[in-house]
Amino acid sequence: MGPTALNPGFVLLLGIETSCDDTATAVVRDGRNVLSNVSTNQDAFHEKYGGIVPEIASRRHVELLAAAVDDALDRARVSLRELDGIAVTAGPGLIGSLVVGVASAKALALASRKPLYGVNHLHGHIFAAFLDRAEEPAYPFLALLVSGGHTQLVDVAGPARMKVIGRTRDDAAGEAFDKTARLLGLPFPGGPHVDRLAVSGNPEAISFPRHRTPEGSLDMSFSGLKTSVKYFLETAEGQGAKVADVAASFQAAVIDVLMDRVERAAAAKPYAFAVLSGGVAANSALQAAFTEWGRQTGIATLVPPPRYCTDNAAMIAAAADRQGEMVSASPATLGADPNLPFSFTETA
Amino acid sequence: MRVVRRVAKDVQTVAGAARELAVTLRAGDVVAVGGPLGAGKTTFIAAAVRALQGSDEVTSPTFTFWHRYDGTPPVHHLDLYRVEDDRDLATIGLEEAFTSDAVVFVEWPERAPALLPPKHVTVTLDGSGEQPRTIEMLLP
Repeated sequence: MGPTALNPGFVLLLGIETSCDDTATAVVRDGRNVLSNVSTNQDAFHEKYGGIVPEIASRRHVELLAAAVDDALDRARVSLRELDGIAVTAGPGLIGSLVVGVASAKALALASRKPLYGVNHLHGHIFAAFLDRAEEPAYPFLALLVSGGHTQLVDVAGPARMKVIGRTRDDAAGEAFDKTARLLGLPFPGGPHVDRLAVSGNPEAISFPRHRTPEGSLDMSFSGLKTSVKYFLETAEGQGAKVADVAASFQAAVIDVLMDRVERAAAAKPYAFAVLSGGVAANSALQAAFTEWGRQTGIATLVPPPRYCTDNAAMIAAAADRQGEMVSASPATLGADPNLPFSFTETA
Repeated sequence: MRVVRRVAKDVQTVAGAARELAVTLRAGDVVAVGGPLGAGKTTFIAAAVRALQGSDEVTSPTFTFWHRYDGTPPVHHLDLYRVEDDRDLATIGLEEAFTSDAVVFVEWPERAPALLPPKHVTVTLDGSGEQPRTIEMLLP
């Protein structure tokens, strides 16, 4: 059951996300139409409020959040009074960052007497796929969530019935991209640089290892791949290799592992629909591979645009809209949980 | 101060050294785990956490800075890879991880030496790729 509409015909939620680096706010109608999507890392925010926001915000969330909430409401042209509820990331994440968002959301909910929703950050990434789109999720669907901090394959049986069926055993895919970029002398964040460089490289130039798991497991590993790149660069062959070839070959190895798990998950259970999300979903070669797989198998694929792939608050409102009473929280008792379990049935 | 040195030709031996250390750890202990990219820092800590708690869920906190494993004792796994300077450190709040009831592991400790208490265990891994790893543990 979704949140009750105060407004005639639609539900208006404010989203707040402060789980790690970014301070983000958004106003979303019906879990789908993004009326505003603010991140304090955006240039537009800097121009309006001035000042330099460090890469790693965390405690800076305290100073930035009130302005970011105002900005989201302004841009959406709605007042706090018109909202049907406030959705906030309750975890997982960095405790010092999470508490700022949760405390602010509780205060706003109390002051405005609006319902409060405590959302799992990772569920937000999954429902990001439906922002600004006409499609509604057709359950069950498969979601591949790939970012700097997380790499998970998820069976989504319903808005609040989700299960991780495969995950990284060590480094997240995005971390492997960033660390490989650093080995190649590329600036941070490395993912987009590897992506651009790989376009002019040969993905078959170097045969980097693809992680395999035992039969029946959909888990992944990217730590060994990163180490292989480093080792290769130290060899005579590596020192003479084209950087673009190394980037393309590394990227191909990551994509092969991810797509192998996607294919195996889809072979084990019939899915009509699959979502690719998280920061690494912005990688053009991964998107191409995922979309091509969908074309070949007849499984409809959905990849959100980059602004909804990276951490954002619109996705938190999108998840709350669909999860409704499952994530309904009391402004008196909602707490930030850095280890918030992925499944509702798991106990912390 | 006691120095323990091990040479590991495979992951199992790295894990063995981590277990060897883990049995000596008590609540309140801090372990700085240093070494270059790909040396096996996360692998080492994962094995130590497994030995302490039986948890099989240890992943790299490079992007997320801080992973917590509830258990007896609780374990905090910090990663300073993305910390550029002390100003960054002040905004993240990692100092709150150092509590007397928990064991704390810190990857990339050289990025913020001031974060660590003066008395801590130092583990240094070296080597990469197919090379054997050298593991040096300085126990207080």
